Amino acid sequence: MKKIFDIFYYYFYCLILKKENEAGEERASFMFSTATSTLVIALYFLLSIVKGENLLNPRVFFFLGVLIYVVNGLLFSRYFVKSGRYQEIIEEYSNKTMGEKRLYAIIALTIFIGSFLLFALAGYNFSRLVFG
Amino acid sequence: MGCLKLTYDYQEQGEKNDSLKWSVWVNPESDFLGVVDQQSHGNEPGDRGGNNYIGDVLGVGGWLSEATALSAYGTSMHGKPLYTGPKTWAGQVTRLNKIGKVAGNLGMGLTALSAGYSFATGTDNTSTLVDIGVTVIGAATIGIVGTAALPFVAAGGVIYGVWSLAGGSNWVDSNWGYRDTTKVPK
Repeated sequence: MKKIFDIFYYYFYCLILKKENEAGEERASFMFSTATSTLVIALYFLLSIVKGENLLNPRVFFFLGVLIYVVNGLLFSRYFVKSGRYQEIIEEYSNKTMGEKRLYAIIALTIFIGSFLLFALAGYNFSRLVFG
Repeated sequence: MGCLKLTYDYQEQGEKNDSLKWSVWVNPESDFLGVVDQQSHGNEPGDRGGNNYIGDVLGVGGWLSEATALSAYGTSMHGKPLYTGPKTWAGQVTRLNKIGKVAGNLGMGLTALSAGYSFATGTDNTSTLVDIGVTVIGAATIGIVGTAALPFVAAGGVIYGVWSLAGGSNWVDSNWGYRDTTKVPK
């Protein structure tokens, strides 16, 4: 599980453009955490579709959602950046070819956009189902 | 540039034999890690180290760590920061970065969640999806390109916000809306 988590971080690390002497580890963490937070919200909508009702009061949903984005962002940053874990991950995958890195960047971009797409689709369908 | 007041206690067989005090002006941006040597000229209280710039004096692995190592030979050294302007400034920048990071995440979350709230209350429409699209483009640009893209993304965000408030969202909904806005949600 931890390994998969690290691989996904590396995908996002390959996605970001870095200037010389710039690590960009924080931005990779930001994008990864944003994508996962959005996926969690999308999953909530999907679960609500399955149940066919609004599982949470909209205001509670909003409050919890904000909490998820902020806490998730901070936890990701702490795990990957502050602990120095990102350096181990980068070193571990340093032997990857340019082609592989490009592929990882495409996967990360797909995950990032896909999470919002899923969020929008699930939200739209949920709204149509509950409110018509 | 910062000033560090140092006290050097020379001990022999556990007894304090001599104590030297001096101030060292340090440049935290310099790569040179200062080691106590003849260049320090620290014999007189208040004597400044002149050109003896020290890299990260207060940092872990910096000069004070070297000083700690010296204590194994019967000496000890204490550092007391008198003025740490750049360090203080660096601390503020780090703090600002942290605030910026939290604010960025919060802003992203709030934008996405305002769309989510619209879904949850049945007040969503095509403009909601457009909002999500704009948010994704902005977040992806900042994430991929970095702070260099920030002014452009911010300017774009402001223009979009003004356009949206000036009736752009209503215009999108009235032309391409998928929900009848005249109906009151349940």
